[in-house]
Amino acid sequence: MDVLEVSRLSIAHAGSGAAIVPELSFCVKEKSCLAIVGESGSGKSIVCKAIMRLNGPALRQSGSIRFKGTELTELSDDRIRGLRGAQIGMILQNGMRAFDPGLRLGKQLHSVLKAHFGWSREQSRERLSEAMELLLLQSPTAVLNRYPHELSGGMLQRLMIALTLVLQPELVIADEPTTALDAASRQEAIGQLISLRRQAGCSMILISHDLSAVERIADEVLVLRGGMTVERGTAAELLTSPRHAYTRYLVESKHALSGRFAQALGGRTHAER
Amino acid sequence: MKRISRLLSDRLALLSLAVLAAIAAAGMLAPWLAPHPPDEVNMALRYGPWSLHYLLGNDQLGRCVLSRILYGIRPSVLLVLAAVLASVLIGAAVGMAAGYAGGRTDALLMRLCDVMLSFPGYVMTLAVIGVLGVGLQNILLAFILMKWAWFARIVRSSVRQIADADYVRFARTLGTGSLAILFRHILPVCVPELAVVASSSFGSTLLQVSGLSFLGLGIQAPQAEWGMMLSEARQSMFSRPELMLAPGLMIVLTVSAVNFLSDAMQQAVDPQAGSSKRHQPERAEAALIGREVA
Amino acid sequence: MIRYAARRLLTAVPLLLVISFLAFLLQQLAPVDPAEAVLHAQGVPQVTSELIAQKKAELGLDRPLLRQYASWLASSVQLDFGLSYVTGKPVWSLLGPAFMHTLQLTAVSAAAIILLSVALGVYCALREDAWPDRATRGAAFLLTAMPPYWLAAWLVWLFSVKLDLLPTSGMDSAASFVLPTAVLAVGYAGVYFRVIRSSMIAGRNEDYVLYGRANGLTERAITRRVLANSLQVAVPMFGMAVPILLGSTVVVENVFAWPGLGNLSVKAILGRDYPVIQAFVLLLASSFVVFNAVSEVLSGLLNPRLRKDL
Repeated sequence: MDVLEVSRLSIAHAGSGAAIVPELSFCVKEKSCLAIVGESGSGKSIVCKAIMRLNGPALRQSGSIRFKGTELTELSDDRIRGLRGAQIGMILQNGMRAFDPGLRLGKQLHSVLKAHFGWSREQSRERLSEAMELLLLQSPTAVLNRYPHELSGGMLQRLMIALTLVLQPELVIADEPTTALDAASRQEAIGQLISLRRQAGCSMILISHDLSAVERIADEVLVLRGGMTVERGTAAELLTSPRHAYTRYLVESKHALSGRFAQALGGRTHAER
Repeated sequence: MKRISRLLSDRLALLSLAVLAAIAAAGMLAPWLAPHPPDEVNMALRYGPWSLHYLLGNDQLGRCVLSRILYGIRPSVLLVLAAVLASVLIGAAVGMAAGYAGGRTDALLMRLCDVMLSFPGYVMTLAVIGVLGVGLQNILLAFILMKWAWFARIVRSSVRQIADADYVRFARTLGTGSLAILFRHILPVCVPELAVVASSSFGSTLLQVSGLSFLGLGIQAPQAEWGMMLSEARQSMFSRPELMLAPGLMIVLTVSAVNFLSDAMQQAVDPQAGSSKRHQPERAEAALIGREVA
Repeated sequence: MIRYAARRLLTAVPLLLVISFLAFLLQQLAPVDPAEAVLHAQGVPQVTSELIAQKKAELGLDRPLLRQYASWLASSVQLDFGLSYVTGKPVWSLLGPAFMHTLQLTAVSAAAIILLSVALGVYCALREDAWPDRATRGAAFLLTAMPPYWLAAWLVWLFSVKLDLLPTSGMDSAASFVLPTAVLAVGYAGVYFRVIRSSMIAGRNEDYVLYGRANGLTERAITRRVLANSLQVAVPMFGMAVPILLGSTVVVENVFAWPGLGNLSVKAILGRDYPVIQAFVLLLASSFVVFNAVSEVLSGLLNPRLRKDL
């Protein structure tokens, strides 16, 4: 069975009725990673937030979303809340803004773990430290004692991944995890996400316009534009021989850009390699 | 220009502007519009009800309430407006001098502003009246003394931002005089923010001036002023509460119109103040609080 | 943290000195000869120039300005503000009790203002743009356009005269606090609640709210955190409400015949009682500066990010 099956999902503005996502269908196979690719404004984030009913009352959605066979749209608010984090997890784009600025990190993370598992502070700290060490975060206890503004974006992102490791959801939605990072941190982040998949054995939806990340992690790719599917297929196919013009444009822009970069680094021959 | 058109397209703002213009005009034309002299005492007509001759009735000394209201526009609204404009001009002058001169002059003037701003408004007003004595002109003087520093700050920071901009440098190399630069390039930048702050302090100043007149510290009898009319009406509040209606409602109307206009200006200058979409609406709101409480 | 507090409080000192000097100068600007005024106040029948000169020396008014300032400052700190020009008695005997009365009214009103602002702010933020939000904002708009003494007069008319529920004036019982506090609270909360409201609205759109929800936190828990973070914006604002209130209860005290600073200052102005005016100015301006510093320290306490800056 597919982990996630989305059928004819439509999202529109509640007030004006203007459609953002006309009718979208896709699925995520068990233990696989689906990348949703597209430019800003293509509706990628909104679609993924819709899965867990995280869009506000300003948006109206219809259609079916089945998670491991359960129809999510029919669940009560309480039950959806129980799912969030523990069964379907999320990793946000900007680590610096994902955490409550007024609380120490350990306290924030503990409140999530307590809500789901009822752990004590000691237990939370232990499990979080384990996960943090796996992700190469030094002195976890010290880090947990800090406020968000005292850490770098990269460290905060690792913390998000650590929390996800502890929560062990079946499906992880990573919303542009590399966009806010510099080139060096990007590679690390992608590595951590691969690590997360392995450790937790979860399926993943990766939202990104960073095709190098998609190349490394994704099994399948869905190209979105204006809320509609442009092309769908395995990562290998799409990135080497895209069929649709739009996909080709995306892939080629990326190549052109990285080609320029490589050229700047080591000359034309290096780029052509 | 875009901002002015945005402002004018807000119908309520336009209405407020019209109301204020009408009130101002009525005040200036009071000698011709008022049906009776405002200080004509007629004890036979004391507490007279609304009638054809005396549209808003008579007060405790038989004077025509409508005429007093009309004449009262001058001290209550027009003179306050003048005071606000004066403090804007003084503040702008100081701000421009400080911003343009830079260095120690700037530092000194800004320190002066800091000191002025750290005095709570009401206290300064009472201090000035305490020293100079009661009277409307002293209250207005106190307000000017109180508010100029705020405007100076705004203008000075705009000047600092712009003075080093390339296009100003170009103008300077072209030989344009400093004064011309100030007026043509720098002033237009400050005007929106000045307009917003000036209009919101107009509203609070209106309330405070009428409050001080109410206490007997402002305009002196027998001159007509809305705050003072309320003070007189208060004497007979328990038997004749209706006397408090006209001047009070005029104040509410005028201040509401001013506040509306001020909010609309704020919206025109910064369209997302106070709404969800803005990143930091609380800052814009806190600026709205610059409309101090009376 | 302690160091931050100490440094912030220390920066207030030079400002206090400047303010005290300006307050001191008030007396110099007054068109009345202090020695003569005191003599009149003490009921001396024949005020001759010798008596004036004598009084001058007695009050130390013939010394250079800076020395006068220094000794005036020294005695002011000990609450000795000289003698009233009207009653001839020590200023503090008038100012002290009045200050206490106003302080009580201020304290009660400040509490009411904070509670009302936060309650209304949260209420409206959670119903952004729905009709309760708009109705509240509309009502607040009208109420704050009203002169407070007008509102006060109507409230007195309604509750004291027509319904006979509350006293019309004076400071006799707990009930007498109700109407003056109501008037003050409406005036200030009507403006302050908007800051809380927009702060909360901004907070709810932050990423950490989304992340918290995505991790399964309840709406209540999230709203509590947003409120806690929003209140930080409000702390300096509320902190300043107290000294502002202290100085601007004038009108309300007048309407309700409250025996406080407001009434005292008006009487002093009308009676040209300069020492009282001077002491009043010094007292209020100083409390303004002190409260400003204290509320900044409190902000730093609550918001760890601010502490880094000093």
